[in-house]
Amino acid sequence: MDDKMEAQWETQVREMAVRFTYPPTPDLRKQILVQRSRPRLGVPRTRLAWVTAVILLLLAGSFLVPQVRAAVIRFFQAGAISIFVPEPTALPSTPVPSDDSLELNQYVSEYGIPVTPAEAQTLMRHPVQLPSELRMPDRFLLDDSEKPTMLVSLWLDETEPTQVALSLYQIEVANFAAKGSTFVEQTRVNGHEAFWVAGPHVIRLEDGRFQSWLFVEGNVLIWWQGDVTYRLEGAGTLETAVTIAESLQTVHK
Amino acid sequence: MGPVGVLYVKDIGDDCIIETDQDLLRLVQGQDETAWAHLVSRHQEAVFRLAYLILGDAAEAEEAAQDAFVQAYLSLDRFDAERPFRPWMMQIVRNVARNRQRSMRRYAAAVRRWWQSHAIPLEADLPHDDAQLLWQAVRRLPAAAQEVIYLRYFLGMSEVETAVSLNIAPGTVKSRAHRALQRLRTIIQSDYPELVTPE
Repeated sequence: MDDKMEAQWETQVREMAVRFTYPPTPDLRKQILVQRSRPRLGVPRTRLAWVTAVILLLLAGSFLVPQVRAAVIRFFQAGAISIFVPEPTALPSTPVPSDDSLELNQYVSEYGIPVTPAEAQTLMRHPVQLPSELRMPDRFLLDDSEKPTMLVSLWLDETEPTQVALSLYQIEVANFAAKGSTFVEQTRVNGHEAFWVAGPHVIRLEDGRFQSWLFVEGNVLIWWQGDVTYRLEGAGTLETAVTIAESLQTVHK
Repeated sequence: MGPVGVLYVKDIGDDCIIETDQDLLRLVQGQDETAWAHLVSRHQEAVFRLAYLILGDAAEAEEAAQDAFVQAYLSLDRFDAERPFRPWMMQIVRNVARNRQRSMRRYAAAVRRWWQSHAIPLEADLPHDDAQLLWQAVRRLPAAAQEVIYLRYFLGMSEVETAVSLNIAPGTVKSRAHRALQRLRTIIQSDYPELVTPE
């Protein structure tokens, strides 16, 4: 397309776009003043209600655990991540089916900028840690905020390279994230408390500036070291996940 | 670049006081809640509209816009009141809306897999005028391309304002818009030929 045609196309897009009809803008002033008065720390009731609704919705339709009743919400703190689960919590006798693989381009479009380990090391506050049990990740993604707080390391499926087989999140968010899940098992990584979360669930990450909601399928191991929380997604079984987690070591430039 | 603010005229009896965004921000940082309400009122349309363009649902967009203003208020102590306010708000609502979109999509996919139910439709059932068809075509672009088109063409923001909103350099806005328009044209020529003006 030559410059004149490009300019004409741009003009045409602009002329169509400005004619777009939006719904009426709601008056946000009153709602914002009410929301703003709630305390920042702790769990806002509206969010807990939302997470609870997700849990209950999942449970209501789940044919895998017909005996589960969401009577009481229990609370676990796993580093920067808060986990809310209904009572009772128990892993099902048969493994929870999960589709852990996602398209690589979904990760790239959702989680930020591809970087090298050296770039990630420069931008993250804490040293980048990777499992010595595995080969080097195929991709590194850094969240695209001014001060990144999350690094995602991706291992691609060797038979289907557009699919992500395993992902490791290094999260340096100071405040908590909330997640609802149907199944949580307490476990240990290097002798320290950790959690194994099975089935689809929702995470909320909050760093005081932004609130991010992520939806996760599949089974996840969560553990933490000091200010850094780790999530390992896609390892399949708890034993495999713990082996990988316990092999974490600092990447040297 | 100096502050870019929209002038707001407040009548007090026979006096007229023109308050820029920067004036209002300074008042808000001095704990003046009325000033915050004025700021919200001034920018809520643009914030809501960007959320709507991303999410495609008015109720979700309203919640995202609310969340964005709450987050902005909670971050005001770290915001330089001399900077333009609107691009910063657009940056916040864009992040909020994208995160909500991720959760909505994945949750819908999980519901579909777990219960073998029909997919939850995420796009509104829209009338098919040119602008709506254009929007449908834009929504098929990658997120970064969508955002530059929404900000530059749907919402009429300048290159500089768009750059701040997306946290990228103005030169990158230009190149990203150029590529986005090319990809958009390909989609439209293939799937929405009625939008193409005969040459």
